[in-house]
Amino acid sequence: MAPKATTATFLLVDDDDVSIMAMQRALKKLKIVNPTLVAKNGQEAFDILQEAVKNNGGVLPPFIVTLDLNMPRMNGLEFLEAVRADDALSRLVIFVFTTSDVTRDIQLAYSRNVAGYLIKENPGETLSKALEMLGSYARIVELPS
Amino acid sequence: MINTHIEKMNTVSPFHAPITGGLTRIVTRLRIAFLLGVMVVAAASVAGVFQARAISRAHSNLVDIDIPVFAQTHETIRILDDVFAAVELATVAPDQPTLDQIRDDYRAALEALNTSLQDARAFTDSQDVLQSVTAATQALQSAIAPLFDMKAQLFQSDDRIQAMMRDLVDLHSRAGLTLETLNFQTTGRIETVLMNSRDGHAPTPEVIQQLFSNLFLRSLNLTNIALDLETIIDLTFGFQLSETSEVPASSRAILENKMRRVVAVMAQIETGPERTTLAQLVQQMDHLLFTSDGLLARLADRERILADLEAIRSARQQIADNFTALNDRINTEALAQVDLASGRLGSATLRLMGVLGAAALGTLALAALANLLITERQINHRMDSLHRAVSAIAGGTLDHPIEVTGKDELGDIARALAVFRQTALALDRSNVDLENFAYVAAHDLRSPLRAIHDLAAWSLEDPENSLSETTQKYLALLLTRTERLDNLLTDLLDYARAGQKSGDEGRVDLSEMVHQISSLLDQSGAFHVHYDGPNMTVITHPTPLKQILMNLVSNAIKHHDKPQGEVVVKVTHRAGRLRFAVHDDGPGIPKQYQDRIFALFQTLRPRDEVEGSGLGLAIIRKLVNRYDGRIRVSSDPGSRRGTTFIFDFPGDAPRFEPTT
Repeated sequence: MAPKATTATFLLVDDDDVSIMAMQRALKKLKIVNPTLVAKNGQEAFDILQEAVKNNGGVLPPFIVTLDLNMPRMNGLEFLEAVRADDALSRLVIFVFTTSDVTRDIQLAYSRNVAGYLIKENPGETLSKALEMLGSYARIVELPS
Repeated sequence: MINTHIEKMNTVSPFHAPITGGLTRIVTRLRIAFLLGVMVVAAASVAGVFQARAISRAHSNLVDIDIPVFAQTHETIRILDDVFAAVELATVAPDQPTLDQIRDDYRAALEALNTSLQDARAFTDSQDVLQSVTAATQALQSAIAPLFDMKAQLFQSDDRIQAMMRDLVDLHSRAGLTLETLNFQTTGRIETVLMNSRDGHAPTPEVIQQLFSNLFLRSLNLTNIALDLETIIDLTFGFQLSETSEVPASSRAILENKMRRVVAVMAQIETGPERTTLAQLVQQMDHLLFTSDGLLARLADRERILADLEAIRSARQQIADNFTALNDRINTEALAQVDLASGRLGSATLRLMGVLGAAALGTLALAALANLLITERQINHRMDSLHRAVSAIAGGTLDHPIEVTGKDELGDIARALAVFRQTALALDRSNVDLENFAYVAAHDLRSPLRAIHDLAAWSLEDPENSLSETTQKYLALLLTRTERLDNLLTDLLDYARAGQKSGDEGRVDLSEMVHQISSLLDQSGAFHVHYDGPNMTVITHPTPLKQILMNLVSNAIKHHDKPQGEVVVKVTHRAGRLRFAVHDDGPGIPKQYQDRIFALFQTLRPRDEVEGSGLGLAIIRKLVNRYDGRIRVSSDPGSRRGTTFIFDFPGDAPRFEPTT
């Protein structure tokens, strides 16, 4: 499933299968047809992104990442750290999607230049609204390429 | 878990302060300081007593010796004046009885002078002055001693002279009578001769011869004798009347000459009884005047006595001058003595003042030092530091430094406080751990819960799942239970968070806040939520306050037994605190449950009837307590409906605004 050069690819990073399912269902409900990739932890997501850069001739294709913070192996904040440290990935658009509303997490995330921090409060409703916003975002916003 | 914490805390730092009975060490130090002060005062007192004794000595010297010497000197001089007065009187004494009287006075004054000198000898240490005075006195005595004898001789001499003068005058008058008689005889005879010649008898030459050679000559001689005797008497009286009584040699020669002439003329008078009488009288006069014991000799003698008296007078003057000089000298010395004693007294007084001043300064310095070292540094400063530390730690600032050290009670208290702080820190940590645990547990429990919820929801949602009615009912129940569990977890998270101060203060319009809560919770409009309080903006912690009010109002609505109701939020403001009373007209809470409602997970009705985690009031109480407030419930369903929750919360009014 190679991403098209102009369409942004959703990369959903979450270790919870049900969360992924929920997001996929919501996307489907919202008729968002952008290609979607799934990573179970930060490391996996990082690998996918690097692979995409390699396949795209050293340039990162457009990606929108939804990132959970509590994950095994490499958690969200570590992933943010790794991405911002990598020249090719440093400009990646990342939204944090998490259940953590701890102030410290929010501050740390924003200090690593996330595009938004969304709390998965009220399962069905918030998520679908957030994803709808992301869909619109993907259509309207010109992403770096 | 709490128990294990407490056990752990008990073993944090075993603290053993030695308990001293009776005197504490700080008090001991204070007492030592006081003792030192007392010793300084005592030393000063001893020194003061020495100085006071010196003053007393100087004073008694002045009073017992110097002033008496001064007085004695003056007494001596006064007596001397008496002596001199007596001498002066003696010099001019008119007669012997007066002289005797004066002599007695003189002797008495002399006696007194000797006594006075004896007395003075006992006091004074200037013996040379005394010796001078004594010598002068003796000189005076020896000089004055002959005065009275001479004066007596003078009186005797005067008496004798008077007597002799009387004799002389007597002799002279008797001689005068005799001469009268003779003269009368001569005159008679001349008459007779003249009568004879008048009778016609021419005077014969014999008669004339007789007349001239005998009678006229005789008459002339008699007259000459009378005149010479008169002259002698006048001269003698002149001698006697002159003050000096000096009989010049020429005058004596005149007297002798006259006397010789009288004798010679008398010899020419014819003999007869009268002439014999006259001769005897003249001889007696001559004898009276010129013998070695005669009047002239007496007068010379008197003259000599007067000269001697004059000599005594001038000698006395000399002595008086000496005495005046001595007097001045004694006066000067006595004054010098008194000055010296006064000076000693003055310097002793000065020394005493110095000692007392030094003692006062020393005591002050010691008091200041004790105040600085013990009261200020050891007690006040440390007490203040300790007080601040205790207050800060009691106020929750557990990292406040405890700067007090030392091996006394304050140090022990400080060390005990450090132990308490350790305990409090451990307790704090364990509370934080507990809250963190509750938070993490609640949070981590939500993710799988959400997954369960989603899966059940999807199962119901997706039409391709052909589910039996029972399964659908079960799934629906599963959904409600997951929602209840989710609420429970939300409250649990709130409860865990309630332990942290939100910190940010802000301006809040309480009326507006209550209105917001009302519109948020009572969307149907069945419940009236009133605000009853000052129309004011307060500075307070809005987030926890809103949470508390929201929970209370929502409880009131949720637990109401009727579809409509009323909730009143009454607010009063006093001294930086807001007092809230949230009153509803619900069924009320029975007394026996009022203690339990604030406990965790306590609900009065089944959760299937009223959704509730049993955490609401626990969260409220924790929030109120967190802001140093208290909450209590007031309800008596037996007598009337309704429940009132009363609590206080920090809040200060920037100003009261007038009601619009």
